[in-house]
Amino acid sequence: MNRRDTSPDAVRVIEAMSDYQAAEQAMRRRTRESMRMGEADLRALRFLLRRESEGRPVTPADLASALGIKSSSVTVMLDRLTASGHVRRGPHPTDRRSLVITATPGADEEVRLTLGEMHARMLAVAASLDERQATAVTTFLRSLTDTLHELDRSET
Amino acid sequence: MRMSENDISALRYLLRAKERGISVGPKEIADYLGLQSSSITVLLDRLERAGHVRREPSPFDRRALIIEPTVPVGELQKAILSDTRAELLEVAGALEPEAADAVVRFMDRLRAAVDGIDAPVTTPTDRSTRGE
Repeated sequence: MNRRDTSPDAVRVIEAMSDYQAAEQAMRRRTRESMRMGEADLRALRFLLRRESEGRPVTPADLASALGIKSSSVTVMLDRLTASGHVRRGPHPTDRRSLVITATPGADEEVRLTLGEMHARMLAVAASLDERQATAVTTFLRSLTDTLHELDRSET
Repeated sequence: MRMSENDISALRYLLRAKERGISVGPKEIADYLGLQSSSITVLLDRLERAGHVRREPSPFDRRALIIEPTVPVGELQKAILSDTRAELLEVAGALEPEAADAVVRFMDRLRAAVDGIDAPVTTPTDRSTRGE
């Protein structure tokens, strides 16, 4: 494909985005390593914490559908996270055949410290934008998202 | 040479460090990318063969290496652009110069924020051995 007509501004934007994307991926790897946890485990904990903050209990089936994994894999994951002290299985209040999964306070703090620091830093960057910049960034990200959705639709 | 995402990340990291006058060794790259040092050796072998980096002895410590980026900027840009969908390039190309500036600055600061997250909260010993 001929890229000669790509404007220098567009190149700078794409470079900055690709840098950010790569940095985020590297950060996620570092975080997982420091928490000694796989990506799915971390996603599961985040899901548990989010639902807990909304006061909505989580069953193993909820976890399976939220993470898009088989219930047998959820069982293995919960065995692991229970053994490491990150989650607890408890009785379901209304369904005797089901379980409620909760994150332990230790896991809560671990995730909060790690992700909380990240969110605070990112929020600080977003807050440093003035109105014009915020509009420019938001408009750009929206049209990027729209374009990606369109591409997705046309490919499926 | 077809560059992987990690190749591109490593090169961009090296170029940013060089811009700030900082020399970087294999360990810093491994820490930054969150990869094992054995994977970094393979990555650097590949980049060195392609002429994109040079391993040089550190001026401060003869046993240590520093990695010098030698990749032409144009080549790195080409690699990044060839990974980018034409439709997304169009969206980026439609930005007014002022908006493009705002987006680049925002992404850059967001990247710096994310780069600062090292996060071994539960393993403080890891942190003390970092960046030595």
